[in-house]
Amino acid sequence: MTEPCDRTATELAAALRAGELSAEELVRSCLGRIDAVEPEVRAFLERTPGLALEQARAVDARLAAGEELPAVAGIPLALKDVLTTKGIRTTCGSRILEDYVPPYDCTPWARLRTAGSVLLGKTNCDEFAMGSSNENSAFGPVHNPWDLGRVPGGSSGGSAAAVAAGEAVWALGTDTGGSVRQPAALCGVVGMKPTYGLVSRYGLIAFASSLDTVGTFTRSVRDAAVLLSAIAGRDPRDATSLDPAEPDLAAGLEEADVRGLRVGVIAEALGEGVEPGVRDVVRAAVDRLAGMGAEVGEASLPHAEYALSAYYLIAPSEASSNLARYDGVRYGLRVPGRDSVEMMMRTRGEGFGPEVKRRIILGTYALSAGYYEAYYGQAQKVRTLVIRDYQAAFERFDVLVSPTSPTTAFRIGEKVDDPLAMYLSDVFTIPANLAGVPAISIPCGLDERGLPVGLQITGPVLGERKVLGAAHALERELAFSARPPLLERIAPVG
Amino acid sequence: MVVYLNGSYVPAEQAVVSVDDRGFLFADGIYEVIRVYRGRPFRLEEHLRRLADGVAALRIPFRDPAGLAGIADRLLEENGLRDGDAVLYIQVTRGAAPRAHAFPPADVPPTAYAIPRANVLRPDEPGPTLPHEEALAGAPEVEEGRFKVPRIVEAEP
Repeated sequence: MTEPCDRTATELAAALRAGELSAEELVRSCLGRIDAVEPEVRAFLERTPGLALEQARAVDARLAAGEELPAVAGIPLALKDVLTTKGIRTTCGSRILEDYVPPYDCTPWARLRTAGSVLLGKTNCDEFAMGSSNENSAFGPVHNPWDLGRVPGGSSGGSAAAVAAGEAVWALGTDTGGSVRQPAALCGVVGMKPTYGLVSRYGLIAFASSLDTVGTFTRSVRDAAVLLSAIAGRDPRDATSLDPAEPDLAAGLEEADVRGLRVGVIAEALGEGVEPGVRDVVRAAVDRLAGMGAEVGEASLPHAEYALSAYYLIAPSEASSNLARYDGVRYGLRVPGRDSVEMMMRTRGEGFGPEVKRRIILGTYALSAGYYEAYYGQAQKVRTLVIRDYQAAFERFDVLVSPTSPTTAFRIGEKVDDPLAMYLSDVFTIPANLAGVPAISIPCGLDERGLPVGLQITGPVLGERKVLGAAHALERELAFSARPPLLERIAPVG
Repeated sequence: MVVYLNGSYVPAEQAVVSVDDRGFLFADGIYEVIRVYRGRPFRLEEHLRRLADGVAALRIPFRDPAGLAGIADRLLEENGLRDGDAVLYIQVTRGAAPRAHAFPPADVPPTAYAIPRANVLRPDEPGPTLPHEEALAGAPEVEEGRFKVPRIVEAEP
C-alpha cells in the first residue's frame, strides 16, 4: 500500500474531498517520511512541522464545513530557500543570510498560503542558486534518494530530493539556467520552468534578473499544471510578470494528444558529451512519441553551442550587481571592521562561498569599463541569435525535445574541483533561459546504473499548454513507475 | 495634434518640409528635448540657451531662439497639455536649398519645427510599506531607529 506522502497531489486532492483522508493525516505522513529519510537525504534547511499541522487542521475544518477549496489546499509543499517566507528563516544556502528572517512572503507562497497550501519547510540549495549539484550550499550537500553517494543536481537539489523521497508531495524551486529541470531529471521527478514572467519573482532573492524564473517539482505532469496555475499571473510587484493566456493549465490536459504534433529532436543535443545511457533512453522515448502518432523530425539550434558561454557572462554580470546589496548594513551577516569599507569587505569575504565569489568577480570584470562591449555586449548578441534559433525552430515544430542533462546523477565530489565540467551539466537547459521559453523535464527511464534520465520538452513563449500536453501524453505512455531504492527499503510497496 | 513649423501653428498632418531640406539631405541641423512636468517645461531657459549656442556654433542663421519659449507655451495650450507630462522636441535645420555641400546663401531661412508628445505614466499611487520596526528587525546594528554603520570617513590625523 502506497503511503499518502508518495501519491500525486491530484489523487490526494480527490481523497481529501472524498473524505478518505484528512489533511492532517496527509501532513503527518509527510512528517513521518521526513523523520525517516532526512538523516540520509538532508533536503531541508528549515522545517516547519508546527505550522504545517496548523495549516492542515485549518483545511480539514474548512472541508468539514463544506467549503469549496482550491486544488492546492491541504497538499504539503516544500519551498526552496531562496523564496522569502515571512517570519521563517530564509538563507539562500549562504552564511551571509544564515540568520535572515524575512519580513514578507514571496508572491508565489503568498498565493499558495491563501489557497490553503501546507508548508513543510525550506529546502537546501546551492548558495544563491549558483550551482548544478547542491554542493555549493554553505550547509552541506543534499544526497540523491536514488543513490545517497550522488548529487541531486542543482541548484534546487533539496526541492527535487524532497519530492523524490516522498518528504513533500510537491515543491517550488527556481530556474535561472536549469536549476529546476536538471535536478528534476537527476532525481526522477517532473520539473517545470515556465515562460519568463509567467510567475512573479517578488520575494525570490535575485540571482540573474533577466533569467530568473520560479518553477515546480511534482510527481506528475498534471500536478505541475495545477501548481503552476496556482502561482502564475500578473503581480504589480514584479514588473516583468504576465497574465497566462489560459489561467487553468490543467483543464483539458486529459484530452491532450500527440497525434500530428510536430516534434523536433534537437540534433546537437544527442551528439558528443552525452552519456550513452542517457542517449539510449531519450531515443527510446522519442520513438514512443513517433509510435503514438507524433510527426518527429530533426531540429537544429545552431547557436546553442555558444549559449553556455553567453550565459556565464550574462548571469554573473547580473549576479555581481544583485549581490552588491549584501553589505552588512540592513540585514544579514555583519563582520565588524574599523570603518564601513573594512566592515563590508570582511562581511562579504567571510559571508560568501567560493562559487559565489567566483561569479561576482567574473561578472564585475565582464561589466568593467573597456570590457563591457567585448563581454556583456557580445553575450547579449549571442542571446539574440539563440532567441532567433528558437523562433525559426518553432515555425517548423510545435515542441522540441532533448535530454535534460547530458549525464545522470554524478558522485558527490566528482566535479567540485572542475567548475567547467560542472557548468556543462546545464548545457541543454540554459538555452531556454536565454530565450525565456517554457520547458519541462519528465523522467523517461533509467540508465544502466538504475539512475533516472530526464527528457526535456520545450515550447514557444507562453506555450505552456503545448509543453504540458505533450509531456502528459508521453508520461501516460511511458508509465515510469520506478522508485528510489531508499523508498523500497523504508517504505516497501505491497 | 498641433505642431509649430516656421512661424505657423498647423495640424501635424499638414506640416510638410521640402525634400531639399538640409536636415533631410545632410543631417545638417540640431535638436533639443525638453521635459514638461504638469504643463511646466523643465529648465526651459537653459535648454533654449543651449540651442542658441548650438545654432551659433553651427553657423545656422536662426534669429530668435528665445522666442521659442512662447512657442512652447502655445503648443502645450493648443494640445491640451497645460497640466500634462510631456516631452517637447525642437528641431532646427539649415533650411531648404538646392543640393550642394557648401552652405546656402544667407537669405535661406532655417527650418524650425517643434512638437510636444504627451508622456503616458503609471499613476503614482502610494501603497502599504514595511513598518519601521520590521524593516529594522534584521539589521545588524540599530541606533535611534536607524541602521548604524561604522564610520565611513577616516578621522583627520
